[in-house]
Amino acid sequence: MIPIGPLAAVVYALIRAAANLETTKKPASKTVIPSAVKAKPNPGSDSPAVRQILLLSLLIGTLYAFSHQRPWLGLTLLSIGILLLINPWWTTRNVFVPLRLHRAAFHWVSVGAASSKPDKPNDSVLAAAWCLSRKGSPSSAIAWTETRLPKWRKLRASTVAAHAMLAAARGHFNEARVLFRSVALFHPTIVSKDIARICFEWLATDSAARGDWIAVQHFCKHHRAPRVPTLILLNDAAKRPRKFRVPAAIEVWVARLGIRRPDSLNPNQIFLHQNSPDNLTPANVGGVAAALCASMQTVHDAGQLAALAEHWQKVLGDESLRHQLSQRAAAVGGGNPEATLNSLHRLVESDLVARMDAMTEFSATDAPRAPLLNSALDARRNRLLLEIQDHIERLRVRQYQNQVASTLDEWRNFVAVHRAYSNVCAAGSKRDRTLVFSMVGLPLNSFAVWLYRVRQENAVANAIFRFLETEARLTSSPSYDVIRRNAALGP
Amino acid sequence: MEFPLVKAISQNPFYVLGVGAESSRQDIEREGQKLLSMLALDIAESRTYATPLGDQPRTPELVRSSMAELRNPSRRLLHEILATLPSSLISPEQDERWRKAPSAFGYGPDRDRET
Repeated sequence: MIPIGPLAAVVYALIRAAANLETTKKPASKTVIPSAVKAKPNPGSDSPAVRQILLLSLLIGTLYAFSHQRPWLGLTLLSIGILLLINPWWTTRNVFVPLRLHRAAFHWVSVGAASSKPDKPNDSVLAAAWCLSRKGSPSSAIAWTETRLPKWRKLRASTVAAHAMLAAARGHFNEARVLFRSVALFHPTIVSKDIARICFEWLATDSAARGDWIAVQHFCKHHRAPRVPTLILLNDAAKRPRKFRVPAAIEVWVARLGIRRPDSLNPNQIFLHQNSPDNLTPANVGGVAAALCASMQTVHDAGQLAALAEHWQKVLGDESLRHQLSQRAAAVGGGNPEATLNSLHRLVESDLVARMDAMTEFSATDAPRAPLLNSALDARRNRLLLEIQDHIERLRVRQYQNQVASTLDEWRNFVAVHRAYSNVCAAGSKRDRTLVFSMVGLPLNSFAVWLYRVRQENAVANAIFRFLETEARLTSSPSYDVIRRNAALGP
Repeated sequence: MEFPLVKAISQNPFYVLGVGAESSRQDIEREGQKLLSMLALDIAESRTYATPLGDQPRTPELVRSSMAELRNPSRRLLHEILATLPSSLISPEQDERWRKAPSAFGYGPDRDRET
C-alpha cells in the first residue's frame, strides 16, 4: 500500500522549502564592502525548512511503521529523529568523524537543532572539516567543504573555528593553532559549548602531540574551556609521571563517550616536571658542551629558559674560552675572538627569543636574571613593539582609505596585535603595558567602531572592545568610560 | 619550530663535512670535494651525516655552503665552538610527545610532519 498521506505532506513541505532554501550564491547586489551586506539573515538560510521536512517525514514514517507492525523500522526512525533533535554534534563526534564521512556530517549538522541561527552554516563546515582533518590531505574534499562556507556572512566564532579546522585539514597546524586560540576572544554568549569544546580539545591534543604538557594543562584549565571528560582526562594525564602519561585506550574512549570521571586521579596535584636543560645535561660535561647540551632540549617555562640563559652567560664570560679562541685564531690564520664571541652572543640571544615565542604562555619572573636573558627580553620587546606599530599603521590605512579586506583577514590582524600586546605585557613591567596601550588603544577603538558601524561586524568589534576595556582599566586610561560603553553594545 | 642554536648545531659545517674542528683547510677542501663526488654518484653513505641531534640529510648545496663557511676564519671560529660536542648522539631527549593524541581524540592526523 502506498502511503499517500505522508507522501503528500513531504511534497508540500518540499515545495515550501524550495522557496526558502539558502542559496549558496553571493547576493546579487554589489556593495563596497562585501561583508557589510545589509540584508538580515535569510529566513531560510539556516535550513529550518529542511529540518522541518526531515522531522515531519521521520514522524510520519515512525507512525506508519508502528501502525503497520514494523517496530524495528519505527524505532530506527524514532532514534534518528531523537539524535537530530538532541545533539547533532554528539552524532558527528561519535559516528561521522570516526567514519570520516564529511558530507554526511555537513548535512547532519545543517539539519540538526543544536546550532544557533547565525552559526549554522559555519557549524556544518566545521563538522565536515573535522572529518577531513582526520584524513590527511584530500584536497578535493577540502575544496568542496570550503565552498560551503558563505563568504558574505558576518564573522562568528564558528566561522573562525571552521577556518581553523580547514587549516588543520590541510596540515597548516600553525595557522590552525592561532585561529583556534583566537576563538576564546569572542564574547562567551556567541561561542557555544560545542564549539569551545572542539577548539580546546584540538589545542590540548595538539600540545600533547608536541610534548608540551604545560600547554596541555593551560588549555584544559582555561576559564573558557568547558569541563568535559576529555579535557579532564588530558589535564590529569599532564600531571602523571613521565612513563605513565599516555592514557590507556579504554580511558580515552570512556572520555570520548562523555562518561564523567573524578576531576583528577592525581591526588597530590603535584606537577611533575618535564625535561629541562638542567636535568638532561650530562654530569661529566661543562662549559660550552653543557650549554650546547642544554640548547638541544626543549624548554617549557620561564625557569627552564632562565637556566639555559645562565649556562650561556657562563660560557660567554669564560676567560679560558677567550684564550682558546685566541689560540685557534692564530692557528687558522685569522679571525677575531671578540667578534666570534659577539656572534655567539647574538646567536644565543636570537635562540632565547625564539624559545620565548614558542612558549604557549611566557611570563618573565621577578627573580634576578642573567644579562643575556635581559638583552633577549629587550630585543624581543623591541621587535614586538615594531610589529604592533606596523599592524596598527596598516589597519589605519585600511580604515581611512576604506579599503576592503576580508573580515577573516581583519580578525587575523587583530589576533596578531593581541598576541604581540600580550607578549609585551607578560614579559614586561606596568610601564610597558601603559606604553603599548598608548600605541593601540585609540586606533583599535576607532577601528572597532568602523567595523561595527560600517561593516556591521558586531562580533569582531565586540571582541576588540572587550579586550580594550580590560586594558584601559588596568592602565587607568582616561578613555576607559568610552570603551566600556562600546563594549556594552554586545556582539 | 626550529631554534637558531639547534639549526646551527644540526647544520654545523664540521658535522656536514665529517671533519674535526682542528682539521687543516686542505683537509676540509679535500673532504668537501670527495663528498660532492660521492653525492653526484648517489652513494648511500654520503647522503646523511651524523650530529649530536641524530643523522641529518646531506645535500651538495649544504656541502658547498659548509666549505665556504669554513674558508672565513671568523665564521670558522664560531663553528668550532658549536662543534664542541661529538657527532654521536650523547644526550637524547626523552621523548615526551604523545604523537597519537590528536588521532586518539578524533583530531588527527598524527603530528609527524608539520607545516
